[in-house]
Amino acid sequence: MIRLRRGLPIGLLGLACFGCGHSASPVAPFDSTAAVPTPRNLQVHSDPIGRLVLRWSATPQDRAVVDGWFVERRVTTSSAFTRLEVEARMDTTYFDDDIAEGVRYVYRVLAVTGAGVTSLPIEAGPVRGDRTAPATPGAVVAVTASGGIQLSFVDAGEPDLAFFEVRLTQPQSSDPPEFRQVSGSPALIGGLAVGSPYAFEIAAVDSAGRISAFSEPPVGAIAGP
Amino acid sequence: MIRRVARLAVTLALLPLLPCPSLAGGGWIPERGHSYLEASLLHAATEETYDADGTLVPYRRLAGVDRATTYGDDALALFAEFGLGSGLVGEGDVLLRRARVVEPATRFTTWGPADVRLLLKRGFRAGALAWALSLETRLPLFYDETDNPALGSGFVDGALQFHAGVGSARGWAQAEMGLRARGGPAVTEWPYALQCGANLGRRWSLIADLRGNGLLRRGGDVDVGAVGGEGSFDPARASSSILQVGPGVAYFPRSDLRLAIQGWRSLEGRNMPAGWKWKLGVARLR
Repeated sequence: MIRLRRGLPIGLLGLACFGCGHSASPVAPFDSTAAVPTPRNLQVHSDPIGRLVLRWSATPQDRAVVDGWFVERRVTTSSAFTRLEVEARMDTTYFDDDIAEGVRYVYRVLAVTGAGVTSLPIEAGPVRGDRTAPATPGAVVAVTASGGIQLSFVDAGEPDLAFFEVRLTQPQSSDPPEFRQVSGSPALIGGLAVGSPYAFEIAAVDSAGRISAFSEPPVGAIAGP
Repeated sequence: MIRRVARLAVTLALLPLLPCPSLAGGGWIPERGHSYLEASLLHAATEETYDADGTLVPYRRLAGVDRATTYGDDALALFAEFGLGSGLVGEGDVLLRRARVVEPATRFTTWGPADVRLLLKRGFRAGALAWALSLETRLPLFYDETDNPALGSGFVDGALQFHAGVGSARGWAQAEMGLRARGGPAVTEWPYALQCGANLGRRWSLIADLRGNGLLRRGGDVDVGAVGGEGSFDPARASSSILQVGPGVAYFPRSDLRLAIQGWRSLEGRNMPAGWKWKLGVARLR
């Protein structure tokens, strides 16, 4: 595979050059796909602002051969991959901001040499586009319980809920808020100062790390023994 | 900078120790209708380069990517000098270049006519001690300067230079120095050269040649193509300096035919491949 260009219509007087050119030709053994190092450890996940983030790695030995990487994508209903960038990218991260809510995508990454020889692809499992933060939990109730305070709440039932973030403050204290993570309702919040009042707000966090607004108003209770 | 000046001073101090009687000098102006036509082959290959700070480092095309790389530069240079009369001489040369960067997986090659250089020189003193001033321009030809390796910067340069020479039947010494304003983002240079030659009989000459260029200031943020800069290193596009020195020998099989071989070894530089450069030339004198 040789990339060759001749007859550039540039330069003095705008004349074409018939005796000049530029080529990028492969050097053996890296003139075949099998010899070009495949990207390593491809991972895809959503980020808090709704993009899908691809990360992969390459060893120094890989970088001695590879000039960059191509990222390709298909939807799960199709078998045809589309290359997302014309030029190979030189870093090992790609942010895909052009995704649709609820659509499932499959990504693959190929390494490419300066001569344009690509490696075998590495492919990640399907991931779902998710651009919506979860709903704020409602019906939050805090009651004194043995060992602390028991929180109960109602979530919206999104399938990708990961956990709930609890923000607790002591109304009679100037200490900054404390945060706890709970997996669901009801949840016992322990390790509190017995007999002290606490106020609670709660937010839902999905698997992409997006977080809902905190519930309001804060609900209060006194920590039990 | 101090190291470079010291090295240059030492070299200049040692040069008078060489046999340098004169035949012609840098300020020499051929008579009207006289000419000097030369075709030469140039060759350089290296795995090292001077970075933007002048440190000798491995040649790397891509900043931050460590891979064994060889840079090669071969050219056919065509040079002509014509006496125009009235103390004027016209010079010109063009390089048909092939620049090559070879990495483990890819061989990048760019070839074709590079820059054409045109020079008009006016002599102000003839005889054993001659001196002259010249105006020079360098024009890019048909290449694409975004290719890597590029054949040139893609911009027009202009230079004003002072030439002086002293000569006798035993040899010559000549010097030149000036300013070269480079087009585009590259920094203004001050080119210089110093050459001594000793005639060994009628047919042989020994040559000692020092030449290079300094920079009026560092390239800084606008230094495209610099070693370690953003993107790719390309010596044709970066603000570069070099100091090189080397020997040569010339042979005259006939009084109007000159064969010469010369070599230069780089001593220091910035954004410039290091190592030896060789020239094999044949010239016709009229």
